[in-house]
Amino acid sequence: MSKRQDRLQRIRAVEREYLAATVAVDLLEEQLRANPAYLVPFELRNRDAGQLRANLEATFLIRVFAEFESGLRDAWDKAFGRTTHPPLRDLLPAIAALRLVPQDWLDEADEVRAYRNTLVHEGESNATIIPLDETRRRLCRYFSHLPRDW
Amino acid sequence: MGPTTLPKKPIDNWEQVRDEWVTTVEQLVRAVESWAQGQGWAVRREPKKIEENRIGAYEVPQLLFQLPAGRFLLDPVARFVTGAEGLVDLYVLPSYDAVMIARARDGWVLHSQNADGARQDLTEQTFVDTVLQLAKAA
Repeated sequence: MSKRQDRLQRIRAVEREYLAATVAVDLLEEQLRANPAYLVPFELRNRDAGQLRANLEATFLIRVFAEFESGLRDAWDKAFGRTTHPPLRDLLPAIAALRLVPQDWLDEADEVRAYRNTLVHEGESNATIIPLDETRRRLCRYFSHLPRDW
Repeated sequence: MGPTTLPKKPIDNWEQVRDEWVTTVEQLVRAVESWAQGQGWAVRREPKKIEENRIGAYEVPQLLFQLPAGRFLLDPVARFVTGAEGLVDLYVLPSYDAVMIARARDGWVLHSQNADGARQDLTEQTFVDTVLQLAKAA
């Protein structure tokens, strides 16, 4: 398997973990409807389960983005032989220029970066909300223009 | 050419830029088609609809051609590309190994898929050499 393919699969694997987690949360909620005290032995409250549901997609989006960024930095270092560590807002256009990434694809990956930042640094900006499947699609599309191997 | 979708982020002269790009891609496809036919490879055109935020939706031809070692697709990607003035990919199927064909100011340039980013001007000879090289990886 090529390095690029491996990195793309890692991103997709995190999305699949998210889908598995949504199933797990559905089951937990079903259990709580049948037995509202189900979480008590675990020293947890039903509110914790509610928070889990509310934050699940954002949590996995941050992980998907971390895989994407890790792949970009690996390529920056090993494929392009760069020793610098630019901030992501600069790294995205720099690699796009090296690899002829269409402008729309770059713009859309950068929108994900901005949204990820609002999740990590709460309230930093009012970036557009991007669902996880759309996040994965945008980041994989950008990443598909990296070299096959490095 | 009448747009079916208006651009989301139109540039000033978007219709002119779009039409010029469509014409340029059609010229490239015609040239590649002729080179492929010259090698005795079976070719077929397919329409491809592309939408770009700066110039809206448009239709350009893709070119499929067949070698004994694999099928190839000349696939227009976008007019607006970071670092070039347009991009067309050349894929071999089923491996999807590819080279990028970028439009520079003075013509089309082949960019290797490899990390070295090796470049050469697109000519009939470099095109045929590249296809034969990709065919080995099909």
